[in-house]
Amino acid sequence: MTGPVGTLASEALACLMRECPRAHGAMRTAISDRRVRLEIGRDTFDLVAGAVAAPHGEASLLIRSDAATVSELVHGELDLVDALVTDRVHVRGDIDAVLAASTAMTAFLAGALRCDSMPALLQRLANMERT
Amino acid sequence: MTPAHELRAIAASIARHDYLRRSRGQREWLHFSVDGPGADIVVNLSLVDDPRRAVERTRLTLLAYADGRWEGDVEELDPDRLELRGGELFAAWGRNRVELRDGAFRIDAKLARRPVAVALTLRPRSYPSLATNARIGGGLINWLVVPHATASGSIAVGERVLSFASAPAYHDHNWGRFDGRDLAWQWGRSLAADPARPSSIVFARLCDPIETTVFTQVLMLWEGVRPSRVFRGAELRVEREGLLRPARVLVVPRVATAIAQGPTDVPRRLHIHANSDGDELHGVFEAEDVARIVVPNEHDLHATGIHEVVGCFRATGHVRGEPFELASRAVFEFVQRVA
Repeated sequence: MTGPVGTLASEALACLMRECPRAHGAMRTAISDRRVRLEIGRDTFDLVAGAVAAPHGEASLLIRSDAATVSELVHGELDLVDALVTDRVHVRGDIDAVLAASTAMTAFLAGALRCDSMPALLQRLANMERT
Repeated sequence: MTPAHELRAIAASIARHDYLRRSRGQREWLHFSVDGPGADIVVNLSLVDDPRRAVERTRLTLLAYADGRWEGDVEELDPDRLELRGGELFAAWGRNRVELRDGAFRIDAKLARRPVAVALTLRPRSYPSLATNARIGGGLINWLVVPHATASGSIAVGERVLSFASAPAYHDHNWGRFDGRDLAWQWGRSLAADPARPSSIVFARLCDPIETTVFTQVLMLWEGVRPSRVFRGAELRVEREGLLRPARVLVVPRVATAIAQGPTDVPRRLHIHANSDGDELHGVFEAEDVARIVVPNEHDLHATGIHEVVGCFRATGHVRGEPFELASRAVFEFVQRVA
């Protein structure tokens, strides 16, 4: 079981698969068979094969942040480099995994632009940061 | 001052126009811009019928440039809350409206996720100009332009509310069937702020996405309510100078920021020279700042950027022996692939 951020991430990925499968496919291809662990506030979950999974075993990449930072990043209010240098986003993993995650993030955002249902999900993320 | 009977005739000519066509596979957008005192305002309502997905997507773009910074966003309108009336200009969602009523464009729009709202009434002050079936790549585009209108109303950006009356304003309506991969454009408009001498220009240059083929280019001049001169094709020469490189570019929709934050190829100055049959004009658009509207490509996962650029346009020349001068606020657009 994951918390509210993991649930939202799961819904966002399902939305992507449903409304922009090409972007979802590009994201899956980039991540390949890696397991990416996300620690967002108190919520910890893994991304595996383009879906959210319960944390299990060792991950190829760890990304630690908080809901407010993730919301600011996806809404263009915060630059990723600024977030990294101010420790609002912490990343640990080998360089191939980091680059794969970056490509996957680009595919996700390119798909998010094309999904009718995504703005409402991103608004839920923005509301989450305020609560 | 435009006589009342002329204003009525202008309103009637615009009312006859067939707005909101909503045909299968068609793209259509309505563009309004206002040189308000203290704020440049851009409003765009676009409808894209996507037969592959059997949906009609409607987007509102609302941008304001005030105090040296841009604010605004692009929002997808919920089809279940949206009323569109085919054949006329009427779009309503919640308390928001874009409509043509009693000879005036009325725009009441508030962004759901950003603190920007407008309440505008635009009254056309010139006859529209219509270009139909311009061929672009494998498609066709149509264009109705009203270069001179006056806007009254207000804009709220955050806590700040700016009210104005009779501000210079512009409107166009574009529609057609074409593939987004076929087309890029440079477009601009400027209207004198002095109501006693309402000179205005509209420039448009349609080309392929890498600007190796110019499908059509035109510079239209108005003095008062009617066009006074149109320069086309080889009568025009366009030169770019420098590059506009602001420290940060507002990207809308916001979710595109992380993938489309790269530098623009917007020129710092765009020179337009027109010369034909003894008439000539030399103009320069001086860019001040830019906002980037990201439009997802339909054929791949990349995107195209429509750059809304505010600045000033200055032109001198002569038409049929009469001097033509313009020095005023301007909005130009430059389109490029961005992500």
